[in-house]
Amino acid sequence: MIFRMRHLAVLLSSLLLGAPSLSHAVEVGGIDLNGSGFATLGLGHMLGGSEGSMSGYRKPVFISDYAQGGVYDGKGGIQWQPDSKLGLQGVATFPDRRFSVTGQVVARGARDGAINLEWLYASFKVNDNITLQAGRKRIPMFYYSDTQDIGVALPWTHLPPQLYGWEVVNYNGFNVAYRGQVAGWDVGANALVGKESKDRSGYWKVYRGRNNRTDVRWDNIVGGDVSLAKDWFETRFVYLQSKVRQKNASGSLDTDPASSTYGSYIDGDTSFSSPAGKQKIYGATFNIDYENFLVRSEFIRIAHNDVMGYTDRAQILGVGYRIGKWTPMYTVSNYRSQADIAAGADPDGQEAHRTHSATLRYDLTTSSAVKVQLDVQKDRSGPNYTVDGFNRFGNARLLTATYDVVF
Amino acid sequence: MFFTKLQPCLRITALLTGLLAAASASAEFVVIVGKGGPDAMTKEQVADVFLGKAASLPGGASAAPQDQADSSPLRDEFYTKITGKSAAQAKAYWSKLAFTGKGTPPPEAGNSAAVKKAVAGAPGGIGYIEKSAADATVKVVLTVN
Repeated sequence: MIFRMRHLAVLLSSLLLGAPSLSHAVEVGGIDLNGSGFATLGLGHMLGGSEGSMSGYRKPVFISDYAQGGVYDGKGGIQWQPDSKLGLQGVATFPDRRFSVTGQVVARGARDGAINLEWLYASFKVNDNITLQAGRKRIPMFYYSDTQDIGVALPWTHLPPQLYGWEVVNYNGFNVAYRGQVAGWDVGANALVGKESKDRSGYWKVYRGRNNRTDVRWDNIVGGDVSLAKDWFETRFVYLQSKVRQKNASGSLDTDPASSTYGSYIDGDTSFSSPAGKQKIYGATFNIDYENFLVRSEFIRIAHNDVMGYTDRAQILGVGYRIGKWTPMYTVSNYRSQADIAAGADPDGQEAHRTHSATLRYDLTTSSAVKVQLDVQKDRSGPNYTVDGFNRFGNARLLTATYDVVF
Repeated sequence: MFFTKLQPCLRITALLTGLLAAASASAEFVVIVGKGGPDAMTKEQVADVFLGKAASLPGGASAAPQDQADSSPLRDEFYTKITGKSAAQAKAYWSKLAFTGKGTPPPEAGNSAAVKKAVAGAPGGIGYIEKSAADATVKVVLTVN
């Protein structure tokens, strides 16, 4: 593990020395091979917040990447792992230019430098507008889902966790994509079917302990998204649904003071939950890039209204202004879970938090940028809500800086 | 005495005028295509090609756009004036497409001579160079001041 982390650190550091072209191409037997990559070196320092512990992390705690388990905690000093990553992509385009295969691997500090396969899919261009794809891709839940690892393409040091914090981000399946112009609008549309298996979910480590093992299954994923852009305005709508199951192999923390196993993990699952829950995801984005102003707004509602009985809502609103190579931006991101009180849920036991973020971006070159961001997170959960059975989420003030590059 | 004081002022004014004229001249660029390409293109048509929104040139040939080098000042000027995005914003835009399988950014050439050569030699070739660098090997479809 240490070996992997050192290699990731060395590779990221070496990228500080230069920012070459976005694509490097060679031709082998009529097949064009294109290589490219991206990296983020992220450094963070916890300025203050709530004290204590949560899920095995020392508070204050700020979760910058739920899906990968990227957590800044209160251990002090500079932390580089939660937001640092290195990705490499290869594309093989066959001689007729219509068929290609794309693969992308990413090593993350949040995963101790382990290399994960993020994308691996085959594409067939039916015509200039329609493409068929099959393989492993990103679930298009959000506007920035596709580019969540490409720091240069983001206005923040990390995505607003209240909106972008979910348990899986990829799927294996099939999709049909349309891209073209209709009545003067740039139109993109995508329909997909698939499934995803995620073992040792980073998301559930946040809630069940940093050593917890929870495996997640999203089956029967069906949905699509539509985006429309014209001049300075862009909007996007998404709908997805799936079956959701999980297996908490490590068990749950015993929170009954009268129990002989109080404070330890008990009742680990040996099989996936049954019956599977069903989730319906609705999202909308409204973005503005008017002269030097930029506005980013996004809303999502995730309904788990059958066996799980709760609904999640999250929103962001960000406003920035470009001054040459500088872009200051202010963003508010908000999350609230609402359980089915009629079915017996505690009205004071619901999770809610909000983060105010001030970001300053400077474009070093066309391929690289540095950003500094101050996040102020406020726990707004009900008085009876605990993350891990004992402890509240808590407040946090986090300062992060990133160097982002594509090459 | 008066003329003695005025002469340096006139020289400075002349120098500033010359610098402004030079800056203005360096800001002028042309969009070029191969000899078999269209006779003229609008700013919007050029923007669509360089942002991957149009796969072909007017007339039907598959577009083969050619970018200037990352460090070229002309690149920033081209993207700002043609697409309304800075070169950095355009790169961020292309990063989004390139790393999600939705497109491949235009290849880069080292200088205007290399851009001109690549455009002249490729069916559907299109690029941008300083106005003074254009010659009979390519066709100018748009001039931007």
